[in-house]
Amino acid sequence: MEFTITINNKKIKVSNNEKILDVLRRIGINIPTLCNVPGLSPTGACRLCVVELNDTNELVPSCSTPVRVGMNISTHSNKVINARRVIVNLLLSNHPDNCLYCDKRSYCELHQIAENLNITDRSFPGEPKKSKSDRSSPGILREMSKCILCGRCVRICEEMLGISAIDIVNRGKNIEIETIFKKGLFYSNCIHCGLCIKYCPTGAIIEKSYVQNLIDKLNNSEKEKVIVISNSTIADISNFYGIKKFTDCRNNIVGALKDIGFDKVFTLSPGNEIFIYENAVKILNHIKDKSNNTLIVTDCPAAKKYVKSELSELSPLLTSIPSPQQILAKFFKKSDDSNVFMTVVTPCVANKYEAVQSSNTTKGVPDIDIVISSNELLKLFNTYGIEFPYSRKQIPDNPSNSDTSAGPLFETKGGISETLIRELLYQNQKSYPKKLFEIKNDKNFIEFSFVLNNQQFKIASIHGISSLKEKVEDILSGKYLFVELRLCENACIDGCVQLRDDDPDKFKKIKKLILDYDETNNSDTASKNPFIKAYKNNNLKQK
Amino acid sequence: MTLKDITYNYLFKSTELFELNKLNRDVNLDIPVVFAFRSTCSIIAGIDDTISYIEKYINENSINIKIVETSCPGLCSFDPVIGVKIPGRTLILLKNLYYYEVFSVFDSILNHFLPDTKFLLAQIYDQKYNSWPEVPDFFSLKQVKIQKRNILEPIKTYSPISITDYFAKNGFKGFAKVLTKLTPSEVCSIIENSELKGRGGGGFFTGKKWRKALENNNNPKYFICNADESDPGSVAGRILIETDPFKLIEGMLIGAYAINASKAIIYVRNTYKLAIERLKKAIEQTKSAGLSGDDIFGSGINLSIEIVTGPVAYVCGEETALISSLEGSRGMPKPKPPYPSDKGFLEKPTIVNNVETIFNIPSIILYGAESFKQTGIKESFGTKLFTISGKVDYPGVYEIELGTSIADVLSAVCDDESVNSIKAVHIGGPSGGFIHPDKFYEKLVFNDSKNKSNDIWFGAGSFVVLNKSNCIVDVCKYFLDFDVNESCGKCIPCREGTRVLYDILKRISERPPTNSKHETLQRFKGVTQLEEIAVVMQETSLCGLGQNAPITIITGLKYFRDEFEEHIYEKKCDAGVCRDLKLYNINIDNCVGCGLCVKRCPADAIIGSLHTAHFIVQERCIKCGNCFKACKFNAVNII
Amino acid sequence: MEEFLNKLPTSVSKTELLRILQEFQDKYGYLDNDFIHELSKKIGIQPGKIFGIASFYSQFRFKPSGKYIVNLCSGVACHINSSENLINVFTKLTGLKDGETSADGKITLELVPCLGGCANSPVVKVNDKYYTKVTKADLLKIIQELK
Repeated sequence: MEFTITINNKKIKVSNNEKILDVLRRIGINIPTLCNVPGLSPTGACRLCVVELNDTNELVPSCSTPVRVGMNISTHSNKVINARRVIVNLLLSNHPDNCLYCDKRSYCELHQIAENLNITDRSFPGEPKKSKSDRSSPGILREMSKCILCGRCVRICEEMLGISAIDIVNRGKNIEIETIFKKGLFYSNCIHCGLCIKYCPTGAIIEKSYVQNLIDKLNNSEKEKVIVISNSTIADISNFYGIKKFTDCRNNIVGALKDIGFDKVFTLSPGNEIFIYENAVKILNHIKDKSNNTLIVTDCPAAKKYVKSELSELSPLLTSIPSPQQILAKFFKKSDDSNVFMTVVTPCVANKYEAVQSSNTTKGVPDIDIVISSNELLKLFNTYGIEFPYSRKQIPDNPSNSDTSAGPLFETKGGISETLIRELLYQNQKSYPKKLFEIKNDKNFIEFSFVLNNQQFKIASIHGISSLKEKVEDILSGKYLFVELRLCENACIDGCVQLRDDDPDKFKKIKKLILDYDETNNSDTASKNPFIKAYKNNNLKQK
Repeated sequence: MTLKDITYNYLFKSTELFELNKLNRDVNLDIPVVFAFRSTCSIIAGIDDTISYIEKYINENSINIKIVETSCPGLCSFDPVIGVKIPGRTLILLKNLYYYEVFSVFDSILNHFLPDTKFLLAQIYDQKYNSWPEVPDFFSLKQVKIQKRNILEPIKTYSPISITDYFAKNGFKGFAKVLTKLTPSEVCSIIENSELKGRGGGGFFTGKKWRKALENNNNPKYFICNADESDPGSVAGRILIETDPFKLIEGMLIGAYAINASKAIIYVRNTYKLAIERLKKAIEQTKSAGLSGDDIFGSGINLSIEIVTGPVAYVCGEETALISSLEGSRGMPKPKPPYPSDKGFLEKPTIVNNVETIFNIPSIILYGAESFKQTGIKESFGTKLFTISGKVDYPGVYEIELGTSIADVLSAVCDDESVNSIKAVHIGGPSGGFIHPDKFYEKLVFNDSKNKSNDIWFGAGSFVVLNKSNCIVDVCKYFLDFDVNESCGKCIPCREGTRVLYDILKRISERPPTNSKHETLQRFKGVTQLEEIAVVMQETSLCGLGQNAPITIITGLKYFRDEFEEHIYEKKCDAGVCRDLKLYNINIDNCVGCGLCVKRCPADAIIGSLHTAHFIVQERCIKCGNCFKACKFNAVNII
Repeated sequence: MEEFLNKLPTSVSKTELLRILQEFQDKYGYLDNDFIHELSKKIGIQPGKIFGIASFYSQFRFKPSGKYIVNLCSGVACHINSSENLINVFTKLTGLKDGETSADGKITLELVPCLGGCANSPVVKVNDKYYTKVTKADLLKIIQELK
């Protein structure tokens, strides 16, 4: 049913059951909120989205109030603005005011809202909360004194992921967001996916930064300094600076990093390519053995941890091939007392967690010495005063100098499937179509099909926990040849610690950059890289 | 005959009569009978020890005496109350009978001698028996006369946990009427016509709520009793359950029938041990009497009753929070709409009614809406239970007819001299406010939240009397401290608002640590800040807790603004409660070093050797004022 | 604990959660980490969530309590009759704040909003024994008895 209501003296058409806030967003009226997350149920906790009903002068939260026939709403009346100011002032009354040292800085939503409401002074008394932090996770840092208890992280962790590593505990003045028995994230069932970082409006949940450690090492370590950059990072930086061509930006970055002091600079592509190649070999063996087991192909540490702890029935199906960055770590650090200091740049928090897993360490020392995020890389560049496009372009070091476009494509949504199918077909018959045939595309679930040796195969590409849970039966039934699995809805290119940006469609632009690169490149499957050929031969020799 | 047969004959055949005589069987026995009026408040006052000494007395003297355990009359200052009925004489009520007095009191009373007057409360006149000389009639006591006991009995001389005793009081007749003669819609109509308002604080029309749930066909539906009354200073719900658990059950069965629910749940606070114990026994008997369960007496109606014990959180008194708690979640309120009558427990239509509301149901059904409207005044029919405490002489649980003035109540619960020293009454606990003596003529009626007729908010019916020794700022601070701890923490106005209000009150009730300009300015802003925050909290909070929390402050500022200002500007607390406002020091010129203050100081805060000037260690000083009073040389100054 | 868990049916509905936690605490005195993890498997609620839910309610403890649980009433009637002083005195004498247990495991202090003995305020309860109209001197005696 449709009807009209009055908003700020204008007639607006609305449909039944629509919430006021959704209507306001639709017609471009900006309402501050701190607790609302599109897609999750409204909780009505922050009360900043209140609007005034003109007939009763009542204030109602627009996020949870449905429209009614005859409604007459003011969104920015004096009463409304005053209420919002008092609410924000209340929040600020004991909020730490060391914003200068807060990682969130101008991206802080609380800061933004306070600024928009012209709040310039601490108007109510209150001592800033004392610092209390959870540093147990290698990737996620929680600073509880900055928490405004909006509950977004809790709802993400519960409703989107079903993990509930953190929850609201206690009540009244003792209320806080905490892990079980307040032991810290590392000791909970947290999968370190970092989504909470992405949704936190303040600096209460941030990524743990390693940039300064890296700079210290750069200046003090005698070892050979090696850095590996994920293609998602390259694409993000090139989007950030408006560089049109993927390879241009890549070469800019390589040049800049060499100038900063790295001895060798690589892209993650060789790792991706080995990962694709090895999994393709596995799958071809599956086909040969007529095995009915679906292989779950994933490079995502968060998804792996989730499957192992929450969906243990799927655990045996996980691929045994380590993630690309770990493959490269083994490759660069051949001996235990290696003389290599290795840094990896990724868009992902979970990679920081992956690096300290016991399987990825040698004598207790992580094989990858430091993992930093795309965001941190930008800080590193800023520290050294580097602006893009950078004057010095350099080709990455061998083996990254012979990258195929499968490497970057691999990091996009559906990328594991596409690159893997290409590789399967290439290994089998040396020819493949550039574009794959999608049977189904339900946002976070894509189904592909292809023919190999006259046999039709189905592939599922699953993103996010909710679609994984729906497909558990299908995966166990052996319906798919293999399953691509990643935790982030838009895969690695939209990772939680990419550069901060308010643009919700950024990932589409990044994907386009990579697709353009792939389209114009003929070297587009793993085995076309001479390095992979060498790797193959080497493997054969060893066997 | 089984209990089920007895029940059937009594309710539907009227062959079994449960006359009052039968109920009074214990009163009419030809041996002495002791009535122990046992409820939580009397247990706290020590009735269990008294009972065991009475048993000891009986054993040692090997006399034949029967002890009947019943429930208290709600006059807490007289606890422990023991009733003694000896053959041929009227029932006499003894007050404040502690265990160590049992032997001497029983020695005299069993021999027809009156014990010391301090034990004499009243007797219950009965023409059949000889009365005790000079003992007042129970019903002539002013504490009893002020009450209109409709839902509670004035004095209960039978067991609260015997279903057949309840039958004698026309128990379950209302439910039988509903089962045989009324459709659910007719039951709702009767309640609607009675204009019964919810007693839990909201004051909504109960019938309207029921009708809404009845008209929703999303089955199954649930009928829930909110017995998580947790207002500090209110024990009415608990007394009701302890006194008459069957009435609650009957009311719930009727309510469940009226909305076509098949499950009724009592959510009772886990700490109410005695209430839970009696309720459990009552539910068990109701079940074996065939009044709950499947296909009740062939009517095709299925109704089950279960108890859920709440693990203690004040906010669970709010209906959506209570439902969250029943569902096994954190008891956090949810935004309304949807209302529970549309989407409540497990997303199904649910009615949540307060204990006292449900207690009104059986008699409305049995005697009709009009009979209910005989009590009270327009728009506020019936009675309301108030838990009266504080600076009164006769605290207790009082059932007051609505429309009675506050002044009348006060003169019944206080002796004459203490009435005059009353400074204010605080009604409604954390969701209520102060009443100034100038407004004591106001009648106790439901306040409509839309057009506020007065400042009386019942809340859960706590009624706290304050006199000159109480400080308004301190009481505000007390309630806010309560709110700060009990706020569920979900919405910002309530969570942060109560905290900041508390901080402001704390600041104005303490001496500023330094006298900087900034501090003074902040102090002076106190009152305006309180008002600013209070208004926004009322308008924007998610649930009743946050919306009503500032009423105490608002009414406090309205009637006692000067007291706030005195704290702020003069740093003075007349009641002497806010001790942190004062600073004591010793003027060395006047001090002769006599050492008297050192002796009087309870905190060892004064140091100095004899005949030399003394010194107060401020960190230790608890500001009791003893040194000020003790000093004969005016050497102790208050600043 | 295993025995307790074995008695539960294989799948438990969420509405039963609080009741099970209450029963466990009645039997073992507090809710421990292992129990919450085991219960989580049966009831299908993440352990962190169970902790979050339980911590909302005053009833649940996550540490063993002392031999004597001292309840000081902080209800309004008791407050008006100076219960706050009692609380301060108790804290000064024992060093315990609300919810804390003494190092020797003997005394746990728990403030309660209202014990229901308003006519005899202030009220103090030690395990199941009530003390009424308590003065500072009475409280001193109570504490000495416990020690």
